[in-house]
Amino acid sequence: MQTAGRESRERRALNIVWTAAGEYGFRPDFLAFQRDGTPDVYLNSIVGLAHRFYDAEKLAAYVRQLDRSLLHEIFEDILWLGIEQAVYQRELPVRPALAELRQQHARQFLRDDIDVSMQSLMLRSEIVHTLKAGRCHEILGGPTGIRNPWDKCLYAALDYPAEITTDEIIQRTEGILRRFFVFRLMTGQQRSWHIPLGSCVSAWLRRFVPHEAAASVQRLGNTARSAAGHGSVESCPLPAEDAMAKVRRDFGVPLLPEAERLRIEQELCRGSHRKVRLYYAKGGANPASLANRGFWQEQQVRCRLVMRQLCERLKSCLSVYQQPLALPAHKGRFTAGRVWRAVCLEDSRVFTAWQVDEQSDFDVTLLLDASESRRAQQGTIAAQAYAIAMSLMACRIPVQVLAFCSLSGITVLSQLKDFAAGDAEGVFDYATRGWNRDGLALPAAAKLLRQAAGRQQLLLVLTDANPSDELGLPLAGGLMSRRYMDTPAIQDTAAAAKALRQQGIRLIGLVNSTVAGEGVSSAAREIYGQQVARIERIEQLAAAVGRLIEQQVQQGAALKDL
Amino acid sequence: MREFWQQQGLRETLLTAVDRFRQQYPWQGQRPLAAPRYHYYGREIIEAAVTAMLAGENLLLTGPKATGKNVLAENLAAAFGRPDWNVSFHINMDAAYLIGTDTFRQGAVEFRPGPVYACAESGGFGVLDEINMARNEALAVLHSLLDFRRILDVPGYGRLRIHPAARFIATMNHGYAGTRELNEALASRFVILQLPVLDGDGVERLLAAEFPRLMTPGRRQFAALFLDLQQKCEHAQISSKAVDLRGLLDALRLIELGLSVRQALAMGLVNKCFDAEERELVEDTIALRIAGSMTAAELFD
Repeated sequence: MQTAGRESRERRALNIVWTAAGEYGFRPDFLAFQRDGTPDVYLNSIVGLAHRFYDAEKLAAYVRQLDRSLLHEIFEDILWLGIEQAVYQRELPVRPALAELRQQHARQFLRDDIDVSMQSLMLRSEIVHTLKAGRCHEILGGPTGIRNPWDKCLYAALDYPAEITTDEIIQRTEGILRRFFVFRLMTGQQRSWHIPLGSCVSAWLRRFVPHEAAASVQRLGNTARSAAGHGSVESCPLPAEDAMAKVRRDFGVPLLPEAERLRIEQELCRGSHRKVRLYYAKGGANPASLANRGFWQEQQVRCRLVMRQLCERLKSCLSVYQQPLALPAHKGRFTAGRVWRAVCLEDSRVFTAWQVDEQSDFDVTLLLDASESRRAQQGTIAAQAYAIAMSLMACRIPVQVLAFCSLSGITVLSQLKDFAAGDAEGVFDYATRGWNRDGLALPAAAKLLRQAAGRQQLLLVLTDANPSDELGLPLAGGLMSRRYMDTPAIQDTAAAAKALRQQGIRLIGLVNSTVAGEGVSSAAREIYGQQVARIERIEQLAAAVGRLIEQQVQQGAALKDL
Repeated sequence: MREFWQQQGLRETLLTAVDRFRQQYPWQGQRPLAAPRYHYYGREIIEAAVTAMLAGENLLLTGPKATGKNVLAENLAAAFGRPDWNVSFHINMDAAYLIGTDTFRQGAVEFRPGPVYACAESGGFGVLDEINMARNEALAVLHSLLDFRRILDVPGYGRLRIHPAARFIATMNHGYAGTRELNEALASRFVILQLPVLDGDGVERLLAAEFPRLMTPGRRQFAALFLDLQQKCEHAQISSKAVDLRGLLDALRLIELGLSVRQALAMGLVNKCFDAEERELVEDTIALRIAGSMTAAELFD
């Protein structure tokens, strides 16, 4: 709950910055909060306005220069005191509401100043505090209360004009630092010397160094490249029993009793997959879980809205799908064709009422490709799957989540979330490794679908439409085999998909590959037919999944004929 | 409407053609003619829409919320001197609702025309509002009405040939919750006009027209507030619920009548969001434009 509250407050603060900046997507290093954790509307708006008015790159470079100084925190505060004054004066004519926000901020600052702990007093820089308090008093129409002549001169110098440019801000700040702090900008290993005024860990504006919000994506990408470089994909199959023992160790508790697993293996591992084995695991926490949760938390601002949109879309889709039951009633829509009953039978139910069943009559299984090729998108896929699963659950649609990969000739299906689980936290245990033998994974996943009579089963596959496995496709009667990749693997998967559709399972492909090109699209079309959509940004998720599920529920009868 | 369109710079040939249409089909029915409250601004869009109407086409107006789809439809009906039948589509819409249904009157079953039938028969302008809210199957009944056949078969009651002055204008918003894609068969029966999102000048003009007493600084702030909300919605930070031009106008109406500014904005915009977090984001956006202490006296003459 605390985490959710913090994220919510951060999102709110970011939105204030973005609104003021008139630009979205950048992430300032600095966000301002009041002591109770509420975002400070005024200071965050100043950060946003500064982003709009000034050259962020130049300011960031200047702040980095200041960082080399021993008193860099004080200097940065001083820089921001100047910027605040300039930004306020510049924006006030077009945004009169800023005056009231500034006054509110000043009042709050001075109120907080009364009740300060000894620890805070020891940590704060007196000079910066004096300047800020002086500014706040002045905002509220009183005298600054600054008595020291040196402080007074410094305060006066920080009255940056409205029309000041980025270069002038830097130039003027340097002038102030030289004049008041004997500041000498250093390069290389040298450090400037200063009068030690104490450290400042202020809650005030401190930094303005924007960076891309997708940094974590980059980190994930690097990890993937590194892992690939070290050959983490096993290229030589282990002996069968050793491989199975390793898989059991790596993937943990089996999902199915051994007899059941063997029965399914005998049924499915024939023909193209006769040398392959199957293993069903219960899934569980692993080193990837933490990274996936971290990614989700970073992207939650975007994902939460996507979840809401998807939920709305699904509810809309369900309302289309659920044909309300028409019932004779004493009130409702008048039904002329039933009037004779009133006359002849004294049955006054000449109206129709509609009864809508809110429960869906289908289940959804999400099947995630968990092969090594998805490593760079591991966080994204986990976030997408989590968003879909939570949205489905919010619409009271039963959902389970499975992940599949192939290691040393064994295709492993891990159940990340079962139908009964009340949340989808298990989805964050999604981890990528090995290969993906889609042609076997599809029927293997189908074995975990519910067999309840009258309930339809939707199998939604998050995939890159690029099946490949180290174990090839055996040729009939020969020793040579073809590699399980490209066209043969796609054809094998397409055949498996067709067989599932013939069994009445509604199959949907959600392609979230970063590899652009017609190849991916044509492979996806070959496997999933028209029931496929491509997701390049998470914002597209709601529309794509909603549309595909809508098509499925509407065209159910047609699919059965395939 | 002619005068306003002249001010907008519409081609004289189009205006003359509209005049000819009115002379050819003078309205003599009981239903009052459309009397639009708002004007649609945008010469190019109006010209395209008028041309489509003159050519006898059905027009589908698409665009996000607050782009003036219904305003334009109403303006067209008024300019062509025809009454409008406004049908708001919804998920449980069926053919009977549109065309008509049997009713029981004085011991006999008779046909009670629905709005589409009445409009087609009288030669009105039918506004099919949020057409993509309805199931496509329910709309199939409109196919023969909207294509070259221009007929409507009512089982048991014969065939209606549509009045030559009748036109159908549909509106749709892809982004609304509950909407779906229009199927190809229906979409092909319309010419489609994508309405642009209102810019700052457009919103200011609208506010000036609707609230003549609203002073320029206030008008600018409220227009800027609307654009801020629009931008926030475009970047998926909030849903479109608070990007509500009607709500903004309602709020200003309440302010003019003496309600406090923040209270009015809460009623017109903020409270349309049912999610607490979303409400906070909308409130912050308002706080950055509209001071909490602002009064009606500061806004209006």
